[in-house]
Amino acid sequence: MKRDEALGIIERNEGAPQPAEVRMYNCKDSINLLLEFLDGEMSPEDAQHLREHLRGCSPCVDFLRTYRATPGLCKKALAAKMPKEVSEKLTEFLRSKIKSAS
Amino acid sequence: MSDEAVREEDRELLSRAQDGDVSAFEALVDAHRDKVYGLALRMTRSEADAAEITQDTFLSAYQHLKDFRGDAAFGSWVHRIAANHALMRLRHRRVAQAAEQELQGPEFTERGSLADYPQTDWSRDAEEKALDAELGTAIQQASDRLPEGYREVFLLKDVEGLSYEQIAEATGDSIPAIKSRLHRARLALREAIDAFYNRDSREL
Repeated sequence: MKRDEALGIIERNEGAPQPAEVRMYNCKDSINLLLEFLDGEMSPEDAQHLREHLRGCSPCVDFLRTYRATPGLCKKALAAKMPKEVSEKLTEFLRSKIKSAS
Repeated sequence: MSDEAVREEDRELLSRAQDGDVSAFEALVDAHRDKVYGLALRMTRSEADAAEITQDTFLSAYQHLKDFRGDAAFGSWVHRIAANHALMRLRHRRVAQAAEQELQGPEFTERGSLADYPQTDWSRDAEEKALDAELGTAIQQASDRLPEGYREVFLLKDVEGLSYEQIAEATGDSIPAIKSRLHRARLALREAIDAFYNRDSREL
């Protein structure tokens, strides 16, 4: 078994398969698991593997930060206010419906 | 006003509306219409549909006022009604949905590393800077490009703040399917924002 320091991956020798838990996460694994990680739904063992990867991988840390910032930024960008005339029509519509229902 | 103060005011108005006070119901509509309209507009991308969904939502809420026992906040309840109305409308509209598009995510090396594709950390900037109009447009366009099922889940969870359980109830999809779509939608939107920031830095 050799260890690739740059990628943080323990590579398996052919013919000598290693148990899955021995393999460290690479960037792709980490990014696939970010939702579970941020939701706090990973097993402690998997979360530990992910943290180990993040400790040695600054592109992934930047990725994690920007992934986490994405929902808030989109929420701000997509905020919408009801136009005044639509709002007036809504009030009128509801009043007429309430009146006819009562 | 704090969130708790808003909820308390809603509870007070709700109680009066349930006793037949129409002006109390109108005050609830005033307090929540922008959020309902925003949700409907984001989901349908049509001002006419959004206006109708808003009407239908508050009409449904009025018709079921007596059934609402106040276990959840009034705002959350109305939000869920609006999400259901919007989803129903989308289903009617979606007669021939295009095949699922490939969502753009990050690029990796053959070994699954980001090492050759360094990331820009714009997260702090995103939190501190007022939203740039151009960035807002880029996000709106990226959201519009998401396949319908992915956009729905993203909007309901990340923009409207519904729980996975509420989304599953509203869409009829399983929670694992919802999480998978949410993750892919976030990756695609993150990618679009990243492209925007990198374009900016290249221009400097």
